[in-house]
Amino acid sequence: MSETLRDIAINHSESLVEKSQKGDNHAFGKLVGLWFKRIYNFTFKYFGNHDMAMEVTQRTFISVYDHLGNLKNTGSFKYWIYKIAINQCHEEDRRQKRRNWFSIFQNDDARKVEEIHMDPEKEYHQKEMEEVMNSLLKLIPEEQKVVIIMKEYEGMKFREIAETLGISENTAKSRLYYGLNNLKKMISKSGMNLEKF
Amino acid sequence: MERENLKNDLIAYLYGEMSTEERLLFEREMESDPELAKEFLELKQVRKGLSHMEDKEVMEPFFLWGRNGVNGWAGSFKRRSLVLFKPFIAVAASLVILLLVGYVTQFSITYQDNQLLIGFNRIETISPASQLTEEQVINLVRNAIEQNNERLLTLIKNTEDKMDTRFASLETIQEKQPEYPQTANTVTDKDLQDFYQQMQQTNAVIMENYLRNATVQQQEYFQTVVNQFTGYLQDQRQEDLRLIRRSLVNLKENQDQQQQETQQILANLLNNVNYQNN
Repeated sequence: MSETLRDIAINHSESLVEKSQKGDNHAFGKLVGLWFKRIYNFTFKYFGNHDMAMEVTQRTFISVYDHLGNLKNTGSFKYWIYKIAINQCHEEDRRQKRRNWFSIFQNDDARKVEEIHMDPEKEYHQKEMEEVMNSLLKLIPEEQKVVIIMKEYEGMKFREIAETLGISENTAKSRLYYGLNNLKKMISKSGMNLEKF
Repeated sequence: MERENLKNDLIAYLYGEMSTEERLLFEREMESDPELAKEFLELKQVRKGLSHMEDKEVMEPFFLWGRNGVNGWAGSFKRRSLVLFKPFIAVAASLVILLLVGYVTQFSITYQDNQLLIGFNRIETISPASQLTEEQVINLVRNAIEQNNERLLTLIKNTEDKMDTRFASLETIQEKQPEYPQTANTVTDKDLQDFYQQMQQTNAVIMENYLRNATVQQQEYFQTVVNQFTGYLQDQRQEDLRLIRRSLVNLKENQDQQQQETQQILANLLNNVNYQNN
């Protein structure tokens, strides 16, 4: 994974965090500017929905602003912000479950996946593939999904994932293994050919 | 435990998080264990599938970070918690609207004397049927039947009169018809020759007309084919133009996005200047 200027800046956000902690709102604005896209993409992959991702991203930054003073080690901002984002994702999940309880038309992801495979010709199209993978990600257990997103899309090392989630590196690897295996099984079950990816 | 370690090693190898020594050891392990090698390839394919999900471009909401700082921003988002009450607010608003409409239209639902009455304005109660006596009902039915019978009798009589008139006119027409001659004239050779010549001439005319029509039809057919081909070419051209237009729209969208980004950068710069001035 090639590192862009933004990635470099993201990995060196300490000075901005320190300034923000001293009440520098301008620095906090820059921090939001640096991290917004990353957190949005993290939450987008978690929910597969733009509106929810935007909502959770904004809630994450409000929480960051409210609790930034409590962050002791500015070097661990990266893990801290992901931790907040994950907590916000969990909260949004709970809210969604409550809302779905009232809703008659619940979103049946499993059925959606089956419908997607009705048209095999489109399966291999980039957009369709994205939708398929998005739907499949929603179906795997939450703890495995988070590790997959962190590893595949956020490019984090196992050590970083372990630190963010407060687990051991081996647990992180194990969750990733079972997550990928679950995806593999679901792909095979839905009739798609793994070799043609 | 051994197997669990192997899984962790497989994942570490898959993501390139192994030292050179560990990597070589694991590769040797895979050579001796085809199942493990197969599993590695499968997981690699799953990763390839996951790579189809690319990062989305998104622009952070633009806020001026003034003296009030982020409080205004946070406050505006905290107000978003109202979203949670949206369904309840919607239901309450609907109920209020229904009540208002009901009040304005004087909508009412009442139940009295075994009747459910739904209506607008004042609902007039229907007089119960029990107010009529049995004799009155019998008289009403009898009158209705008698009136119907009289109407039917009149109709039958009128129809009979019309039919009589028709029969009389038919008889008159039959009497006036002339008698057709019963015998045919004798046919001579000359008549036959004339008839033969007449037939030949008629045939020649028919053939000439046929050939002329065929030529015209062929010309029309050819014209249709040419028109269809022209239409096809026209469609193709339209399709090409649509493609070009779509590409131009995409180009414009990209340009708009770039413009937005530029505006945001300019806004940030302005913000920086304001901040430095303050």
